[in-house]
Amino acid sequence: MSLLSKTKEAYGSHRNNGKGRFHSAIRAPFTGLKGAVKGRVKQEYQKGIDAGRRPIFAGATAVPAATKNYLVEKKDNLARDHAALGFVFFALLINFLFERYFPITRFNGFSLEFFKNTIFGGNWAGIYNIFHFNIYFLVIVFAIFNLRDRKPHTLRVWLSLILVTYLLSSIPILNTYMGMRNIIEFFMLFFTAIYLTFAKEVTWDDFMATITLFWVFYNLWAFGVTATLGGIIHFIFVVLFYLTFCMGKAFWEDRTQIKWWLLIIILFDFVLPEFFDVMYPNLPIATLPFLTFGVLLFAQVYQPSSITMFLIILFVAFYFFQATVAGGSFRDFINQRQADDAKFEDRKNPFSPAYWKDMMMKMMNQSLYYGSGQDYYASQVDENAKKRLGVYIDGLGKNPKEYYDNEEIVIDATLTAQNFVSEGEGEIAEPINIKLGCSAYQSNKEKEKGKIYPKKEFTIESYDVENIQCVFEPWQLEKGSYEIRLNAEFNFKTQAYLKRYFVAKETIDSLRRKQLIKKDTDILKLNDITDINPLVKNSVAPVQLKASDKIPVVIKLSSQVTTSHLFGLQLENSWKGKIEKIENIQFFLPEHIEIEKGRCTPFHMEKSLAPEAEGYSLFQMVYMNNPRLKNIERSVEQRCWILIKPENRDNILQPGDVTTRYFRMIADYTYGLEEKLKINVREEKGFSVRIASTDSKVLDSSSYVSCIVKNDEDIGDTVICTLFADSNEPESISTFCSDDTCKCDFFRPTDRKYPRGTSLRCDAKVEKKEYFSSAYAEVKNSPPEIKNIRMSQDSVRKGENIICSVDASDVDNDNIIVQFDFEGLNIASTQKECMGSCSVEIPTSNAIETTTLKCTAMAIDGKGDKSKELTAKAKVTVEAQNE
Amino acid sequence: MNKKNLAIILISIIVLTGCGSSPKDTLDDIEFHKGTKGLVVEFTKNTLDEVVEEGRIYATLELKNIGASDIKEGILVPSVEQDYVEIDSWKIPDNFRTARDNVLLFNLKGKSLSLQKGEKQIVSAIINTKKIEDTRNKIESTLVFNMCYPYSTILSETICIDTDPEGLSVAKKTCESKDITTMGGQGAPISITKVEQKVIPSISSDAVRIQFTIYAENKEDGIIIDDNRYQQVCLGEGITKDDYDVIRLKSIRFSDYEYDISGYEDIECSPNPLKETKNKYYTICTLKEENSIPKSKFTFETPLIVELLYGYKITESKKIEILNNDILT
Repeated sequence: MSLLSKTKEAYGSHRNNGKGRFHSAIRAPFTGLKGAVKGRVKQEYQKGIDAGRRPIFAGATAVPAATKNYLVEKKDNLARDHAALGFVFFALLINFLFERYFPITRFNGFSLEFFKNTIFGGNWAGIYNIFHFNIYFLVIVFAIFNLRDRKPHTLRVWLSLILVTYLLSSIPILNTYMGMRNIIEFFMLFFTAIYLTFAKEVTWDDFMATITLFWVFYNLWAFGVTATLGGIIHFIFVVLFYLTFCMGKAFWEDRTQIKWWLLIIILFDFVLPEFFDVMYPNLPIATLPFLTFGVLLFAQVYQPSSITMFLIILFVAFYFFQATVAGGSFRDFINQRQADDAKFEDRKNPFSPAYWKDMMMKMMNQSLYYGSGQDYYASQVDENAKKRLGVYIDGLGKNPKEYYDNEEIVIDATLTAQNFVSEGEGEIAEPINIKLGCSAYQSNKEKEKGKIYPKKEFTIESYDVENIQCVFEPWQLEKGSYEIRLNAEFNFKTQAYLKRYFVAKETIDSLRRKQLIKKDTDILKLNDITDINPLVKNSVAPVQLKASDKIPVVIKLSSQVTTSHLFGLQLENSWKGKIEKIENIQFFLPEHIEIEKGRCTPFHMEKSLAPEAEGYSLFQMVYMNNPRLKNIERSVEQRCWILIKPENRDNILQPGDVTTRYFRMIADYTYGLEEKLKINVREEKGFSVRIASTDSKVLDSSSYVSCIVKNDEDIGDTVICTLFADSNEPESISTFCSDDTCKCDFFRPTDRKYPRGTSLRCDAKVEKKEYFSSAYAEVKNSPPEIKNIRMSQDSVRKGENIICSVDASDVDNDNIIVQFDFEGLNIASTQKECMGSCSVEIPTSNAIETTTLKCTAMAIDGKGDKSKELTAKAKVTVEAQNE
Repeated sequence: MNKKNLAIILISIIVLTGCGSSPKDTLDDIEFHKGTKGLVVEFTKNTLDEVVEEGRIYATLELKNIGASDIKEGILVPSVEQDYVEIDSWKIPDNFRTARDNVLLFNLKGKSLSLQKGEKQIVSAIINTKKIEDTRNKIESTLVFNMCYPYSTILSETICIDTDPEGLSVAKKTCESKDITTMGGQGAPISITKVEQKVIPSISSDAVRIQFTIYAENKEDGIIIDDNRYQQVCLGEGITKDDYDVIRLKSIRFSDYEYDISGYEDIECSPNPLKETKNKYYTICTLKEENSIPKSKFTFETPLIVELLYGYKITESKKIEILNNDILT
């Protein structure tokens, strides 16, 4: 019975004897221990009597001896049962904690280059010497001489030590190969003699395992494992392992087998990393925790448990996954011998669900792209970028989900916007202009528009946080489930940069011919550059720029011919929204690098005459009216050809092999962000009334007023509706209502509608049934209306002006501004004050080819309400020029 | 343990510690011609990893010549990311000087009796950082320094010239001819690892010719370059494949016989520069026919001195972080 069980039993016994809980708990461990060792005390007492001691002395020593033996046995059992697991966790600590956070403790095995060259060079003498086979064979000879009868004789051991040390070393042929070479080798022999003399049991198998292990330790030391802190830690680990398992009493019987296991662990940790690195250069070998893996295998074989099994499965699954994804695409990522920080980051990834999701997506995306023959674009958000740039709508989830149809539905949210900080003194970054809107959707169709408070438009210079509300009027939303979509349209930009390396073509060719490099990126390793596959780095923004994998990392510049490369960029929507329109794309290329004229698709780009950043040339988009620039849900690509002329090569290359330069890209766009919230709208129970427009959804100054009465069951009686409008005389209408719903329509004899701002109250009652209800409403502003739009001509020739005219009106007699937008020609939008009619004159001289010119007009009144858009078209003809 | 066993052990210890050869001479030139390192460069600990934008950082390098040869007119070429960083100037000792494009030229003595650890100097590059984009908290930039220098490897060993390979002479040979295999280098990154010796018959039956095959290996991580063009290679000017892997045999001499690249030729050596094969370089030197050694000259021991010349290129780099001013305020 275990000590714990004995203690529990003792506790129970004390309690049964009437002792208190505290008293029993204090005494129980001692009583339990006493019970556990009771049997042993008798044995120890008997041993003492048998040894000739007096009973009193035998009795006095029996208890301490029994207790000590019991505890030692317990300790041995604990060690026997859990030591291997303990070492697994020790190895995990080294591989995943120390080496992750303290780069100085990293150790990645020995480089086998030297051994490889020696072996393949046929330098057998060198191999013999490197591995110090001399001392190994010396010890074996020593052992053979002394272990013939499996019982070393002391005189023979020490005599043979002298023989081996001196005589063997003097024999001319033998001394070259078996002579002792240094004091350490002498001590190895000396301690072998000590071991043979004093060891209780010496078997040939155990002796061979022991000397092999010590020979390996000696070689590890000779190879310089102690040159680095990481090496020292790993060396200490294997030494501690030896002391625990190979010398510990708990493992005495298995010591020989464990020693061979230790050799395997040493092989794993000190030799395999480089071996696999050479065999499988595409795998992230540097991140594999060989030490942990080796010890895990040992633990699973020697002390199997569910923990070790689980860890093995976890490791194999994770690294199998990683190897599968690595495939060919990690070819240029991996650093052969000295993994940099980023690679050691991977050790913590198994514990991150986001990592697994990202890995799966990458795997799917890559195979999709390669399968379809498209380019694969890649980028990353710059981890050093400032966070929270952009516009965010937060807090939607905190709103209630249930509302009544007769109450105002108010959805609260927080609008946060952070802009770029201006570049320098006197420069002002473009402010962010945000337009807000909200709507209620059912089955993906817009049902009702809500109103935004306090205002629909914001202008943010640097940083702002605003509380906003989306409000639906009472009864605007009928009973049902809705998805409220709060959207923000704002202008923003993404700044990105891409690092690339420039090298003289002759340098690469020369190094290849000399087989100093196998691929172009190897020149980076020769120059100690670890960032061998830099991706585009983006600022935090809803649109991310990604570079095509067709842009080589190392760009070779020829002195004879023009170097040209495809420069492909993808603008990808990475937030939950839509790119409403791309306003501009700018490339800042290092000086003396050009974009080939006319070779950008789909958006034409030209060198800009605007002031450039020092050391850069600016190329930007022209012709902003391409339809591909609008309403981008996922992504759009831009491809150009970059040229470097041979005469410009020396202007780009710096002294040295590799010149590092950056390509900078900026994309300006309007982004539509959307956040969603699902709500339920319920009907109020019982008799109720509401005020509504007779003919439209919104009760505004262009509406007739109705009072709509509702009940849970059929009314079947006369309903009297009384309408109060400001301080005017109330009007009453009676109507018989047979159903559960009926309307009281208030049409004035003169058909006059109520002006904007009129406060209305409607009382409804059914006298006999004593039903009564009131409703309140305010007459809203009516949006302006564009009655018609027309072009002065259906067709014009290039160079002739054309007039776009509209007729607009507003029931509230508000001042109207009409916004004119144009498509088909590169003409900026314009706004005009419009009382009744207005027009704009459109020049057509910049038409390049025959096109259809569209003029779209929208009226906006002083309250911010807008009319529907109307469009008119005309044809602009461009005649071919005679040569 | 009984007294008898203890006595045996104690006697053994006395015997073992009492006997033994006296230590070999120390502090001779064998110490200086050991090892495989030549120029060793590293950043000092006080070189900071972080600097603010539009700030200044000192990149301090310690250059040590721990090989056996002196370095004359070595070149140090810095390579920085000019979009974010530029070298303003250097703080250098007297035996260094600057050339165009912030390149340094230097001399460093190797190990000798007076400089047992070789000469060491410290240079500091004063680096200015430029403004970084406001969207970024910090940028990582790599400073790369390439060093190219001419160097030599000298092997000095005793060989046995066997004038009677058939063993026809009655006289007892005083030594035995064998190949030279070295471990541990000669105090230079290019190690002469082996010298094979062969006796080949002369036209005259009473003379012999000696042939040496000399093998060398690159024991360090640098690149072997042409010692006549090492500066151009470092600067990246007009590089061709013939600029790499050029090891010249400057001289070989034993007894009264000599080969020197400047024209003194008792011995024919080819190929020179050494030819590369399987990561080794070799050349074969044969005593000329007219210089055959008569068989009447008894087998004798003599020093063999071999000197190789080459250029060597190493690189040292450091990552720094350029911080945005905003994160400090």
